[in-house]
Amino acid sequence: MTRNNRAASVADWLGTEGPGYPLVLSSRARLARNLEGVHFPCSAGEEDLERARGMVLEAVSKRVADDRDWDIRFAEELSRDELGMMTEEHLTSRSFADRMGGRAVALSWKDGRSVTVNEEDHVRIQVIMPGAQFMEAWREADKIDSCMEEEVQYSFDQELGYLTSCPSNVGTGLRVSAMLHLPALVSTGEIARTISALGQAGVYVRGLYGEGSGVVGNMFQISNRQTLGRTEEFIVRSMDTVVNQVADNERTARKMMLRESELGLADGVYRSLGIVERARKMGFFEALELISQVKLGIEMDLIPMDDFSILEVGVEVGETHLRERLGNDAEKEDVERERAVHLRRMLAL
Amino acid sequence: MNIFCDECKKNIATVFLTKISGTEVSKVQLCEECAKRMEETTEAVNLLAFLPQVLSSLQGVEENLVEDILTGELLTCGSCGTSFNDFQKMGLLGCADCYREFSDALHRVIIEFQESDEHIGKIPGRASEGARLRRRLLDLEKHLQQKIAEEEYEAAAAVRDQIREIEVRLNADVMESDKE
Repeated sequence: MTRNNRAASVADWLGTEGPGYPLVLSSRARLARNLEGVHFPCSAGEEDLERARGMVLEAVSKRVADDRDWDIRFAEELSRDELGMMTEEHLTSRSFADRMGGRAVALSWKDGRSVTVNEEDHVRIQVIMPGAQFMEAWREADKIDSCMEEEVQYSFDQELGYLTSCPSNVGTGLRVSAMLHLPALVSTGEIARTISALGQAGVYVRGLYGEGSGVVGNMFQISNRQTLGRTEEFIVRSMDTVVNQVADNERTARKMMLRESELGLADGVYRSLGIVERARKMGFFEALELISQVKLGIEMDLIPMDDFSILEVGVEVGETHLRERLGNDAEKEDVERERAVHLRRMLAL
Repeated sequence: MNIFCDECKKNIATVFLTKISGTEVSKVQLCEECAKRMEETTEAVNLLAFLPQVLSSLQGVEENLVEDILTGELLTCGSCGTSFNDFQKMGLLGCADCYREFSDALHRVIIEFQESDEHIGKIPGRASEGARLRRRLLDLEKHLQQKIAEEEYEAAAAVRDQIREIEVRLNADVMESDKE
């Protein structure tokens, strides 16, 4: 993965429309696994971490990374920028960027498949797909898992299933998540009821990057809480049902907003568009909020503009991606200026 | 008209966050800096947030266990040296053996959090047949004890035959994999 070929392939799935578009932005399936007989990464010594990395990467290169799309990198070899870009593109978690010894990542940039090594668990298999494709994403992750398993022996207990560093992942090790854009539920305040219902259904709700609980740009990530006592298929199907329900709620809220005050709604989205058109500098979170409003305006036929991918634009106006365009010595102010300019460019304004 | 940041009351608010804590949802207006800080520090709805509640519910149930957990000293994994105290702080276990070493306290955490204590999902392929047989074996052994306790010796003998059959198959598997 050199800088150049990377820039050309800003994760394809980010800009692709999937089923459930435009409300369901993406689906993610993640499997957590550990190697038998090796301490979990948080308590493993350097030697153990190296050994685990060697075993996992050998399995990946022998059984999984069979085409040119795959790229295997040690964390300590990745620059701050590359780590930041991967986080912004949701390919690795934020904590991966705190690079600790012995970590590595195998990525297939194009289609959102990745295997991270020695993060919280020895192995984290992740597949992201555009739109609501939970079953497809899980099947793909499961396929990678089964291939890896021909090479390595996973830590597995007859009662508890796959043993993970955190007991919140034990059993299937499967976390399925959806990224949703829910501006109308937030505007109408209906989101409170939705979130409370999701909580009761054993579903987590989090913000854009899956950590912390502040939600930016009306983008919500919801995922299954329980990983034990259910089959993988049950977990995946439940997520599908829940996501459909939430998307339905958003559609209803949008209709309600139109009915109650089309003028108020149009005023709101056009004010956001006005700021995007005129702003001379812009913070990241502010940009995400504005993108969300403009996008809502387009989807509701209030703003006659070409549609765009909210995830892709969100990634493009991220700190590291902008610095990549500006060079490393860019000041904070330069980045904020470039963000305002680049956002107009992305939206063809 | 400018709106000031709810947090620092100094800068102009440009970010309108929806804040989720548990099932509570509120809206806050923040400046970029405060929003960033807030995103980093807000408590994730995860096991760690959930732990104190579970562990305090143990109180009165098993006094000794709670004392052990509170002092944290007695409960240390013999394999990796991780203490139950470490687990409470980090939410992470040190190795596979921790599951066994902390099984009493952990079992409750798992039951509360996962609402189950039995894996019914995927079983590793290579070991799958063996794992299935071993699980069956455990069930049968329990069954056998029960039949003996109930003095139903005929039924017990039938169960014992089934156990022997599985043991033979398991041994054959071991020999097979040794050859590999």
